[in-house]
Amino acid sequence: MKNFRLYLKKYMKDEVKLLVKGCKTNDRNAQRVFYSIFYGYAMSICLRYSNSRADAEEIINDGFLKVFSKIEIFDSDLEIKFWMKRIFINTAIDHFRKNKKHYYQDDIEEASAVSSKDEDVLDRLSAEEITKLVQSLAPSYQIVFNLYVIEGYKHHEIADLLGISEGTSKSNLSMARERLKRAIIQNEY
Amino acid sequence: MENFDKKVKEKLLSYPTSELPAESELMKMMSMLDEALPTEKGSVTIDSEAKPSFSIKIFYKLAASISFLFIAFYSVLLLNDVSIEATEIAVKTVKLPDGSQVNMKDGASIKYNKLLWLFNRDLTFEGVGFFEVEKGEKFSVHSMLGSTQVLGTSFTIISNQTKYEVGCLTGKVSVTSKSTGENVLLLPGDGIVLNKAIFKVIKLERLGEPSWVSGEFYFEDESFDNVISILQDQYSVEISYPKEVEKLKYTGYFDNKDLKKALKLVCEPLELEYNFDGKKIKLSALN
Repeated sequence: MKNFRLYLKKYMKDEVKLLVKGCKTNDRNAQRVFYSIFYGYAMSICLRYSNSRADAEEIINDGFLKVFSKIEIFDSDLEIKFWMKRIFINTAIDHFRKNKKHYYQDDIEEASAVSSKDEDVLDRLSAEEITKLVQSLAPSYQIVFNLYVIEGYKHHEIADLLGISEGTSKSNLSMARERLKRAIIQNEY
Repeated sequence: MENFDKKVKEKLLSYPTSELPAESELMKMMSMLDEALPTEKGSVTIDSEAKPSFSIKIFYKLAASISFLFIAFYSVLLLNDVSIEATEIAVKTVKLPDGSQVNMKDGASIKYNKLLWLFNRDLTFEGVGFFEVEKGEKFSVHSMLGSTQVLGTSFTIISNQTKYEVGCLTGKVSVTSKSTGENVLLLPGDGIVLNKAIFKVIKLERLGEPSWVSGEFYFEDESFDNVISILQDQYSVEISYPKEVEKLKYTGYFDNKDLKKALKLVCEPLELEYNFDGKKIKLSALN
């Protein structure tokens, strides 16, 4: 059984390599299959960088277009998923920067005291439910939260990427945390 | 704080990745690609119907190759079908692929498949035959009324619509009735007669190759018409004789190699003479 799993893994890897090869030659069928296979993966990333499914779909398609345009320079020995992830995150950042002027900055509210109950509640929520709550965050909080907490960027990197100051990045992060915790507790009741 | 971040991260990264794109999203993507990375053909040829056809094509290819293989295999099988009938010749000897021999009497027929023979020594037989089977895996003979299985032995079979008769000369022979499924093991010297109703073991009168295989015929007080009918059979001739000689008994010998010699051997002790009349032979008393 273990051998079979190893075999399956290798088989899948070889299949993906073939697909990548096809995509490098701009073969529509390969691109179609590649898109269908990795769509779910792209969705799992892009949902948390958007406020709605429609937004996520837009980021996904723009991201895939970049993937297909740049796949020629992709080194086939590397893991395609990690390479794609960076492209999708960059696409999400582009979207944020493009729409930034439309986003109004929330007044910094007094962070209300939040009990430690939130962590127990968190355990009971599914990935889909948490994603929904992250989606409900204002874009400027959401993107900083994602880049810092999920992707592991530093504040000065985030400031560079988004064209904001380091201080804004920090305060947006703490605001994002507060909002998220409140949303988690509200979700409970 | 750290703990909260870690938990949220874990949850977000465990988001399922199995979702498939809606057709509309796929179409959007394809038209974006056509615009940004045009190909000569574009994706016109692979629009909405192309997606199922991708797997259907493979399915058809698979189905086609499987049926091709099947037909090829079947025709190879058919090409290897061997069907032999002993017609004009009194005794025809057939060598089977494993070296086993079948001596078939006039009118007998044998059918087997050269390829399947490698896996299974299986043949269909009708008529009268003497089998000498090489040692090896099970050897099966199927006839209308019964079937016979042996490992390596010699035996005779007489099979027609009404009767199935097997005689075992050496080794062990297992005979199964097609209608009742009854099974009998024959030891050397045993024989069995099987018709639609009965299934009984008999003792063989004489051991050894049947006379029609060796072509030598020995008689002791045999009725004259029996002797003549064997003579007619062996040489495919027609022999006529006067009524008064019918009651004669013949003791003697002839073989199937020389007609004149055989006639002489039959006629002399009984004080008869023979005359050829075209293809017919006329016997008459010596005066």
